[in-house]
Amino acid sequence: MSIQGPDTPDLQPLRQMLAAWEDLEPRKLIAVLQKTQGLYGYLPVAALDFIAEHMRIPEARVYGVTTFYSQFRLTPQGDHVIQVCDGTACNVKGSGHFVDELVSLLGIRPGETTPDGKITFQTVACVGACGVAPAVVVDGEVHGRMTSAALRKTVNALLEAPPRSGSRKVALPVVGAPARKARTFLDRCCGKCKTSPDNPCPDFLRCRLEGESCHDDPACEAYREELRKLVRHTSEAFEAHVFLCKGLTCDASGEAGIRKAFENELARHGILDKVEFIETGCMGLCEVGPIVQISPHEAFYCRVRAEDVPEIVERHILKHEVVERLLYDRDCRTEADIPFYKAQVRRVLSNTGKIDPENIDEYIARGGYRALYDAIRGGSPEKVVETILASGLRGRGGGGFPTGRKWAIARSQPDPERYLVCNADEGDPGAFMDRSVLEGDPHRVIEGILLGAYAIGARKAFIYCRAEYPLAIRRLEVACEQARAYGLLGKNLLGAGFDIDLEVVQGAGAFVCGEETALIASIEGKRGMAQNKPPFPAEHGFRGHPTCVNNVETFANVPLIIANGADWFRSVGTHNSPGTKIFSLSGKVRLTGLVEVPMGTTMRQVLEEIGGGAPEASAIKAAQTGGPSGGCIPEHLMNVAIDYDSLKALGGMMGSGGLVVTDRDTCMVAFARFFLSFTQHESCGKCIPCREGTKRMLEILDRIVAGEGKMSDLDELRNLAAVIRRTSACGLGQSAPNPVLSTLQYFEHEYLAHIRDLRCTAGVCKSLLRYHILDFCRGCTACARKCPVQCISGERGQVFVIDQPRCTKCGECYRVCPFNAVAKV
Amino acid sequence: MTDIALSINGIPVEVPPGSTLLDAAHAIGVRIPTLCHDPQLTISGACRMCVVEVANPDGSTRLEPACSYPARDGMSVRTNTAEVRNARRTIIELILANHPRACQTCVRNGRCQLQSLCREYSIDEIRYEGEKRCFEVDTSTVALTRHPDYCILCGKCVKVCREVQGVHALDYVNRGFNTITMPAFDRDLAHTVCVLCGQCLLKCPVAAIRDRSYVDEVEEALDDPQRICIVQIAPSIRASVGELFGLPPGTLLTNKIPTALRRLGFRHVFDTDFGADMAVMEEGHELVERIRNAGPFPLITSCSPGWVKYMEHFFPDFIPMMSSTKSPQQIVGALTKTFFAQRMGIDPARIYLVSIMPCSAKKYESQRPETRMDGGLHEVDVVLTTREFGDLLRLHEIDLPSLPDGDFDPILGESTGAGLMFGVTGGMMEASLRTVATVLDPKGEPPLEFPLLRGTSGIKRGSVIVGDHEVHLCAVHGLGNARKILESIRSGKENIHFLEVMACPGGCVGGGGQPLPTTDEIRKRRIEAMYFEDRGKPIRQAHRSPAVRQIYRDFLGEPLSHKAHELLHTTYTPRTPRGF
Repeated sequence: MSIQGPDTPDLQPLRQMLAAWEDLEPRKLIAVLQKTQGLYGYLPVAALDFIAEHMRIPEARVYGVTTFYSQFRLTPQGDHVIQVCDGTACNVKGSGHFVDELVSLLGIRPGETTPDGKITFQTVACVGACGVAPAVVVDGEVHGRMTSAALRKTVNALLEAPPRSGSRKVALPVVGAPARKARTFLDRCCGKCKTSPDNPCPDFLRCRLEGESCHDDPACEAYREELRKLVRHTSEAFEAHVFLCKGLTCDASGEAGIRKAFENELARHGILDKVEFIETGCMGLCEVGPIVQISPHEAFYCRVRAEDVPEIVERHILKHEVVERLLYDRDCRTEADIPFYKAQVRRVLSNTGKIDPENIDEYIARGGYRALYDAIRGGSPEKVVETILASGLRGRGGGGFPTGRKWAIARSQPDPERYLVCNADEGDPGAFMDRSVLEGDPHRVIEGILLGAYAIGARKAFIYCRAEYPLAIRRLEVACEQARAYGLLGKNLLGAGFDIDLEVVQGAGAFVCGEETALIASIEGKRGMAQNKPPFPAEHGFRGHPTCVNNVETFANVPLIIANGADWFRSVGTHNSPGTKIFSLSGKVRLTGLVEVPMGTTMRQVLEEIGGGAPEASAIKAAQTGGPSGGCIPEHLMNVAIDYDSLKALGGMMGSGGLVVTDRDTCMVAFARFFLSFTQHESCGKCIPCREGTKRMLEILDRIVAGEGKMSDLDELRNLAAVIRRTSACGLGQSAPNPVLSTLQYFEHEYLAHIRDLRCTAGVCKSLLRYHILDFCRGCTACARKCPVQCISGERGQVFVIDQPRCTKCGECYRVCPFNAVAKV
Repeated sequence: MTDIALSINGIPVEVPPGSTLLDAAHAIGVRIPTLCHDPQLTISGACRMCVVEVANPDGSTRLEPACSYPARDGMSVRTNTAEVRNARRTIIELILANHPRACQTCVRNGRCQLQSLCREYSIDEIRYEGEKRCFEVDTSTVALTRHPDYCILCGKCVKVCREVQGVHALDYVNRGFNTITMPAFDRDLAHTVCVLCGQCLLKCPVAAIRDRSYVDEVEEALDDPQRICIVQIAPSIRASVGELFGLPPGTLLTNKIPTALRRLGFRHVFDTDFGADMAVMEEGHELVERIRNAGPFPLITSCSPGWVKYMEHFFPDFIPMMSSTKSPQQIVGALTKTFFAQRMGIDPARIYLVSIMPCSAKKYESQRPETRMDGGLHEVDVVLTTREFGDLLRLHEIDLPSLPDGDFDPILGESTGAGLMFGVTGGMMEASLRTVATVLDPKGEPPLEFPLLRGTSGIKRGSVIVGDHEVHLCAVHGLGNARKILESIRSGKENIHFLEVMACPGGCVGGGGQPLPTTDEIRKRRIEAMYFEDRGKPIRQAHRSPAVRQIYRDFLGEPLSHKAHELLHTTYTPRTPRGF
């Protein structure tokens, strides 16, 4: 009965890797397992045994950790891996069909590998490509706006490809090494400059930007001025600056080939060296990606394809004309003209999509690290805490606990060994705010962390980032490396005598690790199981020492508050929820993307003014906030002001900022079931109400959507929900029933329709659904050609018929019929 | 620090700082149900049975687990509101929904905490039916069986194994609904570092970990006229077996036991205490030799089979320091099938020797290849735990407390207070010192009691002057404590001459085979009873025992003689998997 790997692996590479690992301590177990999986493509038991022995960790613990995190596999994967994103936005946009389709195409269940070892098919927690939902990841590459037909094509191509020889490793998205700029702020202007890579001048931040140098030399100032222009992309050395959005969503929509097309085209014209490319983080308006912005003219080009590039080069770069057909619309030439951006207040996102996130100079040139410099050189930790307290900043991870208060508690602890953790385990399906900030402006987050560490007196900080965000992890690592080189991180920070070390820790696929105690357990190399609170981590956290855990967006706000003051921060937002909040807007709305608005903005404003309302011919049914912990705000309550307290009063939750819009095609029962199935799957398994209770709730919902519900089911759901909410050990369990309770509150009629009338009004629940071809079918054969299981037949020109027993209810026929002759009944 | 004042159910209560709501409730006689809580272990908070209602400043309430929530000044707590009762009832139903619910055929029937809670909360229906966990039963070891389907995931087995024993053979595996506690890589328990101490079984509130029962085998042997059934019983059982018959812990039934065993059909009733007296002689002389030869130190005791297995997995570098003397059980076994068989003129192959032990690891010890005799016989044929002994008695309609008194056999059945002391932590060492002191200083008046070795502190240290020698002593119980000492010996921080290790907290009185429940309080009561019994013994030193003298005179020669080595000493071997 014990698990044995299919082959005996060569342990030599593992032995070498571990022998070379300098700071190997039991806490690094998860990282070791990740690297080992990188070596073998999976975790052979012999390798785990070896790791246990080498690290002197009980093998039961190694196994416990391995089986806790969904990233780890004990069996090899196929040559190719297809992952269907199971995030909210993808689900709302029909990714469930992909699973059915792959099951029938490949003959395997999710998580299995085809017998020939060719394809492994999995469902995967939200990959954060919500803007281009539904998304499917093939061998690590995200494909957005997937359709059944495209999926079939992809799968067939993989099946027909010759088997891969050799390594069965799955390639992670490859990120290029940070582009080395010829000149950086760290370079010396002349021999008098005291800075050196080993010993950066503590005042160089001021010197480089403001010119207040230790020596007065016009030549040096000219040098610095030219450098600033270069970094700010205003240098006359280039004729044009091309900003390419490298956000995941644009990338998944085809951005990848665009730069190459530009380079080819520019080279053809012989002006390649006259144009500067800036690859930025997410520009925000994911719906119209891939986005390219070009100055002069600051033109904002939407849905750019490689084919469009020659025209852009010809007209825009050579002739300085704007290519109007690629603009957002006729009236919107620049980003600022577009209503989507006009209605926003982009503070935290002010750099995201504007700078090259892998170049620290660009962040510095826009005022970055100045808050840290001022705080450390001229302020005090107490002052930082006071300012944050006065700002009223509340935790952006969803809980809304005042950040200043948390820091003050940690600071007041007698134990001088304190830790700071940045929670970048953005696991909510339908949320990609943190990822966008981390990928687009990592230094801002790092500066916030450093300020926090300084404020609470921590000498060690961690960024815990989920493994599903390899690019964010890579960017953070690059950013840390750069900050270290600039003397902004490490020993004797800015020459002020503080040591702050920052370590990027990679999660391994567990939503519960977004809960702070589970997160700390995970950093300690353990199973991410929640601990009892109190004691709170600020008193008793990492290794028993005071530990502050704050979210990415919280930290990203900190440098702004320290630089501009608490009053500036409070100048937008509401009294109890000051400042702005970032949302990732997705689902059934015209414009999906990354949105930053002042707290107190109404839901309606966000959905209509920014999101452009429902897509054609539909109507918004509800907005779901807070992901699996949150609830639905129905259409008639859309005037609610978005802040922590009003959302809570409506049974919703601010959450981390996922905002998924549903319309008439969304079954709210199935929607609640989707979230519950997510939390049920992600429950750590420790406490009974969450582990067992969510399972039973899910079973009841399964029965209801299958048309087997009873009226008493609703009472049982409510009782279980109440008990789970009140008795679960951690936030995951306590909030797990929210989606069910809030849909029961606002959409009870849909539950009743399922139970009493055996009807799913949205036409989603397959057991209650039948597709039927109506008499006015023209026999155009469109449906028959699309049907993945060939269950539609008929004579051309005659009424077609669906063979009901064979129908998988994928809905393709319904969608393709040009005459609306396919009905859902 | 001043006490914390709060109110529970309207009753004011003051508790010292650091107390939990559970402690506070306990102080005023409010008994809150728990499943995962255990004072010996770190706080878990997994079962949520102990939730109580705590008032918020704004008048609302919240539910908090009493086991982990700290008592704070001015708190107002209600432990039994309608919501609390409903929550607990729902939790019980949720457990039951994922449980075999086979009470009638379950070994824990009547001794199951889940069953008791069902009764207390009048569970008469289970509203939530659905999928159940399904895992294979693990019957790989000779002592314990695992039944994951019964597990309620209180986690106490994992914790006692990790926190108290430092073995870490089990851990949580998988996540969410699929979570289970199991050994690494779903291996059979027999192929892990598990030392079969059985502490997990003592902690299990249900029947997820069970004795591998040998009651049927013993019954069969007792019914077989070809076999000569002989029994031995370990010292600590006389202070614990009464609990199985409703007597308070620490009730001594020394004289009832031989009567019961004879009524069961055993032809000879031996006392493992005698084997312990013999072990004192052998091991005591090993100590004398090492003192005279100046090492190697420390001499480490070897009578606890869980400890021996632990040492072989985790600290095999200590094998040279181990005493080679067999455990009292195996000594009685070896002597039964040699000395006794010869004296009685019976074929040792016909002898069926049953041991009744407070210990699950003794089952394993009796099967170790090192304990095989020439010709392949096992020294001990089968081992029953105290609990199985109770089962056997009940099956045979024997009401132990009301039996007339009886005596152990004169041969291999007579013992001293020294042998008895093996049943408690520090006792083996105390018994040895009673003899060693006399050997090294024949003219002295050595003490019979060594208070520094008594008490329930996990690590007991001290030194005694024996003759011209100052002997540094250390007695530890619980393998986690053993680890601490061994690591500090390894690093050269500790200078110990004589080290006693008992795998189980409290020693054998807290053994994995003892009656349920076995708590700190119950262990203490059993220990007190053992000390009491020792004080009442006419002879309290092994070397003064006439039976011991006789067997050396007639059969073995002298301690550590060639024959004694052949029969009463054993060897150890490093084991895989290595433990960390």
